[in-house]
Amino acid sequence: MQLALKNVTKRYGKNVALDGLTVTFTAGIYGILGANGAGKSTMMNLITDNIARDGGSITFDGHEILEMGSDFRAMLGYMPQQQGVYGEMTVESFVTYMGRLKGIHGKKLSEQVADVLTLTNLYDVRHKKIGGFSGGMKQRVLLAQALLGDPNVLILDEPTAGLDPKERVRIRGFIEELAHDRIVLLATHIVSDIESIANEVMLLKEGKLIRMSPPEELIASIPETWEPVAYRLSLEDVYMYYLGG
Amino acid sequence: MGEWKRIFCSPRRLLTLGLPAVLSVVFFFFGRMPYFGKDSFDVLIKNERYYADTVERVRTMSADDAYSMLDDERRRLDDYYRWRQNGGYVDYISVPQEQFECELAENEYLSSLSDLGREAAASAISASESRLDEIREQLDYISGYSDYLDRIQKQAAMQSMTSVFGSANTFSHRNIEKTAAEFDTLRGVEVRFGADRAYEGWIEFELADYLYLFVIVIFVFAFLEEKRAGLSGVVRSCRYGRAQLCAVRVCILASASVLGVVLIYGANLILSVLLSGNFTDMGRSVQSLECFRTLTEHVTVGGWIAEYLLVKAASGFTVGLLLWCVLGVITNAQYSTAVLGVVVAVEYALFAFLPVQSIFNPVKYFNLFSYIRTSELYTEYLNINLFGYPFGIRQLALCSLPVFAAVFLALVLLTSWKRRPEGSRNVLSRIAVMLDTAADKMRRRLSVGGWETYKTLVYQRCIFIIAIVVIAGGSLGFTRSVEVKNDDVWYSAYLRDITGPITSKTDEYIKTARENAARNDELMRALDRVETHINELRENAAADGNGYEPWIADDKPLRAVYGPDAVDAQCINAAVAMVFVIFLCAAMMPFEQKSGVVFMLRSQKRGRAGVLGQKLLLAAAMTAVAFGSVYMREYTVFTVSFSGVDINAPIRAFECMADSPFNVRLWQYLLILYILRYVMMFALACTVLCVSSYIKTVETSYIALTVLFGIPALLYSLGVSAMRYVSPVRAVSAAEQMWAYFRDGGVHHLIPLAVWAAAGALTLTHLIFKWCMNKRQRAGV
Repeated sequence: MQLALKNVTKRYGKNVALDGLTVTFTAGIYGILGANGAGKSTMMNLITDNIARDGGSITFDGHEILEMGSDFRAMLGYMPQQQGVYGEMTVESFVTYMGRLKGIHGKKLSEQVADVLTLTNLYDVRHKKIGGFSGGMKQRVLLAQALLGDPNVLILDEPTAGLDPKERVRIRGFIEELAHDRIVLLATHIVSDIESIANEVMLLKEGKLIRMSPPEELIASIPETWEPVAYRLSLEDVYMYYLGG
Repeated sequence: MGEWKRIFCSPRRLLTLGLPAVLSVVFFFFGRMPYFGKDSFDVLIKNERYYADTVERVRTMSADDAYSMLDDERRRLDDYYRWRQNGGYVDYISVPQEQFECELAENEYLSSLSDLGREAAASAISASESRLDEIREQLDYISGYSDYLDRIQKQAAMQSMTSVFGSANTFSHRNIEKTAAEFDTLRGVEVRFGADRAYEGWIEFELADYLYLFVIVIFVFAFLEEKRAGLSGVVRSCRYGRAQLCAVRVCILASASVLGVVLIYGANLILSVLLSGNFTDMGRSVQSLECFRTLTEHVTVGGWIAEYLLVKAASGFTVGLLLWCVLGVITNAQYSTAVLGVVVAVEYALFAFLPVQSIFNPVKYFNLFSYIRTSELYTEYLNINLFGYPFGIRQLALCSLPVFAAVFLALVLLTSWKRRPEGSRNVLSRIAVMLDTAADKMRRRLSVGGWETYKTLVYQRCIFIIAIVVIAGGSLGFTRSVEVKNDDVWYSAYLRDITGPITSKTDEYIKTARENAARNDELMRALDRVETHINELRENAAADGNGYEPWIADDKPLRAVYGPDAVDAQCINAAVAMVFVIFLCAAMMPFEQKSGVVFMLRSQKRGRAGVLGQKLLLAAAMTAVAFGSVYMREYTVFTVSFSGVDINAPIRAFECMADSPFNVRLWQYLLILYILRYVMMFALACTVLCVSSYIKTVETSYIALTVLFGIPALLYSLGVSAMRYVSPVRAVSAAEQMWAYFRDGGVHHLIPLAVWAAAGALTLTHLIFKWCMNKRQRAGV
C-alpha cells in the first residue's frame, strides 16, 4: 500500500501553497507539522480531491487517484478541519448517512455505525441532535464518520482539537491501533499527539517539505547549542495521574 | 445604545422590517386589482377613480336621484360590455346606436376604457359594476340605519317577554338588556354617505395583521440571538447583561411595535384613501361605515383610526412580550421555533374554529389572535358569559390588554434576571430525544436518494413550500374570453353538434338543420358558414394526401386556454410556475454550504455523482410538483370546462390552425407543449441549482434567485415588455411560441425555447463539473 505525491503544486493566485511536493506514504502514522498556511490542509484537500492541483501527480499503488475516482474514495476516510455537520441530524442519522455515501448497506452498516459510535464514545448520545453538541463532541462525530468502512487511507485534520485530555489520549491510542495496516495522515498543532504515536513526522514550511523523519530522529537532529532542553513532566501527565482513572 | 444599534443598524433586520411593509403595500394593491395582465395597474386606477367619482356624484343627490343614476350607469356599463365583447357589434345593446355612441363619447370613464385590451376592459367593467353595487348597498344601509336600531329594541323587548329569556337572573336576560341599552345610546348618531371603500378595504386587509406579527416575531428572535450563538452565559456575565439589557430590549420592542404599525398600517391607509376616497370623510361617525354598524362607541372615523392604531401598537407589544416569555424559558434555542409554531397553531385553531356559541368561547377571545386580528373586536358585537354576566369581547380584550402587558413584562424581566441559561430542566430535550429515537429507526433504512429527499423535505422545510405551492396553484386562472361575432353563437352551436370526423352523418345533420332553420336568416348564414368550413376541410384533406382526416372542431376552447387571446394568463402562470421552481429548488445546494459539509461529502465514494445525481432527480421531482400545480390544473380546466373538445381531432381541423404545416392531433400538440414546458422548467431548476451552489446561505439564495428570475418574470407578465430579454418566462410559457410555430412552421419562433434549453444544459454541465470536478482536473494536470 503506497500513496505517492510527486511534484505536486498548488497555487492560489500568486501564492504558492504547495511547491513541487514529493513524498511517499506507506502503512503507518504520519504526523504533519507546520505553521498556519504552510500547506497542510491544502495537501489533504489535494489527496481527497477537493481542490484542483496545478501540477504533479498523486498515485495510490501506482494508479493516479483522479483516474481511480470513486474507487479511491471508497478506501478513504476523511475528517476535515472545519466542524461542518448537519445540526438537525442526530448522531446516528449523520453517521448512517455518511455510511450510505461510502456505499455500505444493510446489516453491515448498522454494525459499523454501532462500532464507530462505541469507539468514539458517542453511543449513549446517538439519538441526540448534533446541533446542540460542544466542539469536542462534534469532533468525535466527524471522527466516527471517517472511521466508517475500514478505510485504507485515513486523513485526519486536527482530530483531537477540542477534546479533553482523557478523550485525546483514548483517541490517540485508537488511531495508533488502526495504523498497523493503513496510512494515517494526521495534521495537528498538538505536538504531543504526534510525538507519541507518529512513525514519521513531516515538517512543512511555505509549501515545501523541510524534513521527514521519525520523531526521535527529528529531536536528535536539533543541535544541543540551539537551546538547553531538560525533560520535565507535563500537565497532561498530572491530569492523567489524578483524573484519568 | 449598543443594543439599539445592534438591532436597528443591522441590514438584515432593516430588511426584515422593510420587507413586510413593502409586501403589505404590494399585496394590498394586488388584492384590489380586478384583473391581472398587461394593463392591470391602469385598470385598478381607473376602477378606483370611477368609484370615488361616483361617490362624489351620489353625495350631492337625493336618495331617489342617486338610485336612478346608479340604474342608468349600470345599464351603460352593460351596453358597453356587450358592445366591446361582440367586437363593436351594436345589435345587442339596449338603446339606439346614436344614443349609445353619444353616451360613449360623453362618458369619460367609458371613453378611457378604449385604451385597454378587450380582456382588461371586460374586467374593468365587471369591477365597476361591483363598485356600483357597493354604492347601492351603502345607500341602503344609510337609509335603513335608524330602522335597524329600532329593530334591535323591539327584538329585545319581545325576547324579554318570552319565558326562555325572561328570568332576570340569567345570562340571556342580562345579555338582552345590555345589548338593548348599548344600542340605545346610538340613537341620534348621524350616519352619512361617503367613500367607505377606502376605509373598509383597509380594515379588511387581513394579511397586514400577519405581516405585523412577522415583524414582532423577528424582533423577539433578535433578542434570543445570543442563545442561538451560545453566548447567553457571556452576556449574563456582563455588568449590564441582565435586567438592564432586558429593560432596553423592552423599549426596543415598544419602538418596533409602533414602527411596524406606522409602516404597515399607516402606509396602507394613506394608499387606500388616496386610491378610492378622501380624508374629509374621516369626520363622519364611525357607524357611517356598514362594517361598524354594531360598534357602540361614539367616535368619528378618524378618531376610531387613531384608537385602532394605538391598540394595534399596544397589542403588538403585548404579543411580543408573550412570545419572548415563551421562548425565553426554553433553554434549547433549536426548539424555540417549534414551540412558537405549536403555540401559534393552537391559538389560531381556537380562534378560528371554536364556535361563537361554545361554552369555551372565552378562550376564543382571550386569545393571541384577538390581539392580532384586532379589527374583529370592533366589527363584531358579542357578549360572552363570565359567571352569568355578559361582557363585551371588545371591552374585555381592551381592558385586559394593559393587564396582560404588565404580567408578561414582569415575566420577561424575571426570566432575564433569574433564569439561568445552563443547567435548567429541559423537558423539551427529553421529548425531542424520544421522537428522534423513533425517527432514527425509520431513517436507518433510507438510501442516498431517500436521504436527499428527507433533507430537502424536512431539514430545508420544503414540505411546507410544497403545501403552499399546491394551495397557491389553485388560485390561478387559465382561461380568457374569446372574441365572438354575433352569428358565431349559432355557428359554434352547430359546430358543437357535429364535432368529430366529417362523415355522411355530418351531411345528414346539415340537411336536417337547413330544413329546421328555413325561415331564419341568421341560422341560415351560420349553416352556410358551417358548410363552407366542411368543404374547405374536405378539400384540404384531399389535397394533403398524407392521411389527413377532415374533422369538425370548435377552436374557441383552444384559443381561450392556449391561444393568443390567453397570452396574458399564460405569462402570469409561467411566472408563477417559475417562482414555484425557485422556491422548491433554491435551498438544496446552499444547505450543504451552510452546513459546511461539502468537502466531506465529496470525499465519500458516492458523494459526488451519487449525491448530485440524487439532487438533480429531486430537482426534477420538485419541478414536477410545480408543473403539476400549474399545468396539470390548466389541462384539467381545459378538458373539464370544455368537455366538447375532442383531443383526438387533428389540429388543422381547428379554424385557427387550418394552415398548419403539421399533421398532428390535438393531444400530440398538447403533449409536445407540456413536455417543452417541463423541459424549460427543469432547465430553470438546473440554473437555480447552479447559481445557488455559489451562495452560502439558504435565505440569500431565495432572495437572489427571486430577484434574478422571479421578479423579471412577474414584471413581464404585468406588462413591462423590456423584461422579455431578461427573463425566460416566454420559454417556460411556451404556448405563444408553439402556437406561432404550429401555425406557420417558422423555426424562428422556437429561438427563445432553444436559447433557454441551451442555457439550462450549460448550467447543468457547469454544475456537474463543479461538483464532480474529476474530468476538468484530468484535463488540467
